[in-house]
Amino acid sequence: MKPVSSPAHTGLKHSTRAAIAVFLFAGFLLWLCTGHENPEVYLFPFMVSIALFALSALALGRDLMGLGGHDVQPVPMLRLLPMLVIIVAYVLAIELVGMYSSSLLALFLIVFIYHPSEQLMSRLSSSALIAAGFIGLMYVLFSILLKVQTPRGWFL
Amino acid sequence: MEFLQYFGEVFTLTHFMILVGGTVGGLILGATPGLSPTMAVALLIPFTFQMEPTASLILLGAVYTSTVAGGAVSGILVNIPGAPANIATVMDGHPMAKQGRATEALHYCFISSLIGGVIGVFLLIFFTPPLADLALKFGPAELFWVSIFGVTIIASLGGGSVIKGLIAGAVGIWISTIGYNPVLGEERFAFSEHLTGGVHIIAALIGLFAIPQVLTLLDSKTAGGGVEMNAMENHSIWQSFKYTLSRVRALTIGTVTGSIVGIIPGAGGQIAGLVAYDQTRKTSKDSSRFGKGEPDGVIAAESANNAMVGPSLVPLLTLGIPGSPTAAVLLGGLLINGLFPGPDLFTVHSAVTWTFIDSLLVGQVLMMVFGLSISRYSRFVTRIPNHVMAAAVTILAVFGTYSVQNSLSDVIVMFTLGIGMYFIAKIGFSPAPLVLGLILGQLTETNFLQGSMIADSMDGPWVYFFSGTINLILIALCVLSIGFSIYSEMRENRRRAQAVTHPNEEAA
Amino acid sequence: MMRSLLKYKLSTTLASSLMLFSLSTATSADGHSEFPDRPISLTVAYGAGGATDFQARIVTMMSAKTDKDDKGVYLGGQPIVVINKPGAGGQVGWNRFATKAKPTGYELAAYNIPHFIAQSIAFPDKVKYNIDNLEPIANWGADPAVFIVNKDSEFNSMKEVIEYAKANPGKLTVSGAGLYVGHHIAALQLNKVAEVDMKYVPAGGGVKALQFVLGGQTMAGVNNLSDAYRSRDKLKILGVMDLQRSEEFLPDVPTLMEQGYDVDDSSVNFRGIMAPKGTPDEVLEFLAKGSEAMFGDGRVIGKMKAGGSPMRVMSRADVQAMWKKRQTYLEGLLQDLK
Repeated sequence: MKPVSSPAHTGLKHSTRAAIAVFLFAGFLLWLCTGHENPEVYLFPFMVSIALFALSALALGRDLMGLGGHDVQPVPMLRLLPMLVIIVAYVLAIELVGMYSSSLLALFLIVFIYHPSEQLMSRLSSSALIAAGFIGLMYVLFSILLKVQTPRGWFL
Repeated sequence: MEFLQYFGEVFTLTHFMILVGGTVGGLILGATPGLSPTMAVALLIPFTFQMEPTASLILLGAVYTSTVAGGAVSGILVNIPGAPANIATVMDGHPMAKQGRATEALHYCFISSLIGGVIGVFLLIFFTPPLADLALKFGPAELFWVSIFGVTIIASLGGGSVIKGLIAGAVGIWISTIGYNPVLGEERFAFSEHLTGGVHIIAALIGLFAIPQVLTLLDSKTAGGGVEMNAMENHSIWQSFKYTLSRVRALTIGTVTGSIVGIIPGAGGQIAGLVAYDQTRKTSKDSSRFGKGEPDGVIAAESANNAMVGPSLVPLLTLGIPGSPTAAVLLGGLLINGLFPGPDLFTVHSAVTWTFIDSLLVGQVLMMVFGLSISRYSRFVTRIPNHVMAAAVTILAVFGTYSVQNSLSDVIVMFTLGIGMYFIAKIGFSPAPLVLGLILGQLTETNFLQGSMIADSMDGPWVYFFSGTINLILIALCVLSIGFSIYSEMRENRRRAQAVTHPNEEAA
Repeated sequence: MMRSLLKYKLSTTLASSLMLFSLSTATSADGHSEFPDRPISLTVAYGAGGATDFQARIVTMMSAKTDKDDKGVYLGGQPIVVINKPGAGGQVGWNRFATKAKPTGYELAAYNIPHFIAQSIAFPDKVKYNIDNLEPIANWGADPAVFIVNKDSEFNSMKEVIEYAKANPGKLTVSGAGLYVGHHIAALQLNKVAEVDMKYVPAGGGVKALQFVLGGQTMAGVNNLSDAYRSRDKLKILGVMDLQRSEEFLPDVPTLMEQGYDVDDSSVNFRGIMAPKGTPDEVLEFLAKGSEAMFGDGRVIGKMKAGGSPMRVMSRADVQAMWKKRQTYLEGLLQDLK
C-alpha cells in the first residue's frame, strides 16, 4: 500500500499505533463502567467492556507479534477539511437559520467547493441549480408529504 | 385452499389500484433513508381511517412488503441501507454497483425478494396454527440465546479480520447501552444532553453507512460516477431470472432463515438478512468473494428479508403478538377496523383476512415488476458526479435522521458516529458489525435482565437459561456458529499463506 | 352506465391514491384564528404499535377534518403528527418534551397517568417533568388494569392467586408493561393490601407483558383491560383494578374490591394530551376546546370502540383536578412502599 500521508518518525508502525489507540479507548470505556453507586444498572455494559478490553489487548498483542496487521489507509485531511467545517457549521446553523435555508447553503457549498470544473461561472451556476432543485425536492417530500416539522430560525 | 376463493377480491379495480399505489409509494418511501418500514406503515395508519377494512389492510400490507424491498435500492445505489433490515444487502450490493452492475444487483434483489416473500406468505397460509404455538415459546431465555446467536455472526462480518469484527461489535453493543438501563429504567452514560435518549438505531445506521460514504466520495479527486459504465448494465431481466433461480443454496438459506426469524417475536427482520448472509457466506466454497460484489450475498439477504414478512404476521394474526416492529404497527391497522387477532379473523372475518393475505401475494409480484422496471434507471444514479452525490447524501442523511423523531440531537449523533466511522474504517473496521452490535445490545441486555428476574423466582439462572429444547437448540447453534467461524478463518489463512508467496509488507 | 361507474371508481381511487401521497389533505386555516398555521406535533413516549401510540393516532385523526356538523374544523385545519420517542417506560420522551418543547402550542405530547406522575415521584432527581411544568389539554381514554393468568393456569380466582403468593413469597411472577407505569402501581397496591410479595417483571411494553402470560413465561400478569379483552379467549381475567366493573367490555369480571382486596382506581391508565408550561392561555383554551370536541366525534368513538379501547373524554379543568388528586395519592402510596 501507499505510505501514509503524514510521515511517521516514531518508529512505531501505523497499525501498532492504531491498535494502541483502540486498546486505550477500550480501557476508557471500561473505566466509564466502574465506580457507580448502583452497579446493577451498569452490569451489562461492564461485562461488554471486559470483553472489549480483552479483545483489544489481544489485537494489540497480535500486532506487536507481527500477526494480522491491517494496512492503515491514508486520510487526506487537507481535502476533507472544508467538508468537516461545513458539517459543523451546518449543524449549528439548523436551529439558528432554519432547516431548509441552512441545507440549501450547505448543499451549495459542498457542490461548489468540490466541483471539478475550473470555470467559476459554470461552477456557481450548476451548484446553485443543483442546490435549489434538490432542496425543493426535500421540501416536497418531507414538509408537504410527510408533514415533518422542521426547525425554523430566521428563515424556513 | 380457502385463500384461492378471494383472489378475485384483490383484482377489483379499487383494491388493485390501492395495491399498485401502495407498492409504488412503498418502494419510494423505503428507498428514503430514515423512513423504515415501521415508520411508513405508522404514517399510513391515520390515512386508512376513511377506507373500508379490506382496502386499508391491502394498502398497509402493500406498503409493508414494498418498503422492505425498497430499502435495498438506496443501499445498493448509494450505500445507505433504507432500514436496518437491508444492512446485509448493502455488503455485496453496493460493491456490485461500484463495478457497474447496479442494475444486475437490483434485479437479483427484487427477484429474490419475490421468491422469499411468496414462500413466506405461503407459510402464513398453510402453517399458521403450529407456527403460532412455536412463537409463544420464545421467552426471555430463548430470546437471549437468539441475540447471542446474532453476536456470534458479528465475528464474521468484520471484513476479513475476526478480531476487528468482534471489537467493532462490542463497541456497538456498548453504544446501545447509552441512555437508560432498559429494565431498571435508570439513566446511564448520558454525557451530553444529546445522548439522554440513547443512540437511535436509525440515526446510527444512517451515520455509520452514509457519512463515511460521503467522505470517501470527496476524498479522492476523481470526478464522475467513478463506475465502469459499459460493464454489464444491459443485463437482461431474463438472464437475471435464470441466474437467481440457479442460486438454490443462497435462496434456500435466505428463505428458511428469514421465515424462522420472522416468527420469533421481537427479533424482527432487522437480523434476518444478516443471519442469512452470514450462513450463505460460511457455507460457500469461496467465502472470500463475499463483500466484494458477490450476487449470492444480495440474493440471500433479500430473500430472507421478504420471507420474514409473511411469518411475522403469524403471531400477529393469531395471537395479537407482532413478530416484528412493523407488524406491531400493522396491529393498529387491524384494530381500528374492528378486526381482533384470533380465530375470528379466519372465520367471522375470513373475507377480509384472506383478501388481505392474497393481496400480499399479488403485492410481492407487483413489487418485483415495479422494482425491475425502475432498475434500469439505476444507471442515472450511479452516473451522478461524486461531489453532487456526496452533497445530496449529506442533506438526505440530515432530513432522514431528523424526521425519525424530530430531533436535532439525533442529527448530531449521526454525524459524530459517521465521521468517527470514516476514520476507524481507515484502520480496518467496518460498519456492519457495529450496527449489528447496536441492534443486538438492547435485545441481549433486556432479555438477560428479564430472564434473571424470572429465574430468581424459579430455580435460578443456570436452570432457567440452560434448559428447555429451544434453548438447547439455540445454544448448539451458537457453538456451531462460533466453531465454523474459527474453522473458516483458519481455512482462509491457510489458503492465503499458500497463495501469497511474498507476504504483504506493512504500510510505511 | 358501466362506463360512468368505471369512471367513478377510477376517480375515487385516483383521489385516494393522491391522498396517499399527501397523507393528509390539510384545508388551510381560514384566518379566523392565527393559531395554528402549520402542523402540530404530538410526542408519544412509547413505541409505534403500542396502545398509547395506536390510540393517539386514532383520536387525532380528525384534527384536520371538519367537525361533525360541517361547521368548522377542530384544530384550525392543521394535522397532528405523531412522533414516537420511546424509552425507559416513557422517561425518554417526557424528559425531552419537558426540557425541549417550545411553549407555542405546536409541540404537544400524550400523557399517561399514573405513569408520569409516579415516575416524577420515584425518580425526583433524574426525571425533569412533573405536574407543575406540564399543562393538560384534554383526556381521551381511561384503561383500567386487569389481573390475568393463562387459560391453562391453576388459578381460577384472585383468592387462589393470593393464597399461592402467601405460601410462596417471591415466587409468583407477574408481568407488566414497565416500571412505575399503571401496571406496576397496581401490582404494588395488591402487594400492599394483600400483604404478599409477588415478583413484578417489567416486560417493556404492554403487548410484550401479555405475551409473557400467554407463553407461560410468567405465572400471571397485570395488563390493560383493552388488550386483555382482545385476547380473552386465551386468558383468564381474574379481576378489574377499578372502582366499578367494565360494563361495556367485561361485565362478568368482578373488581378486586368485590373480591375483598382494597385496590382502587389509582392504577387506571388515563391518556390525553398536554402542552409544556408557558403555552399562552388562549392557545391552551383553543386546543382544549378543539381537542375535547374532536375526541367526542362519532367517527373517533366508533374506531376506538372497534379497537376495544375504552374512552373517557374529560375537559381541561377536570384533568387538572384529576392530576392533582393522583399526585397526592401516589406520593402517599410510593412513600409507604419504599
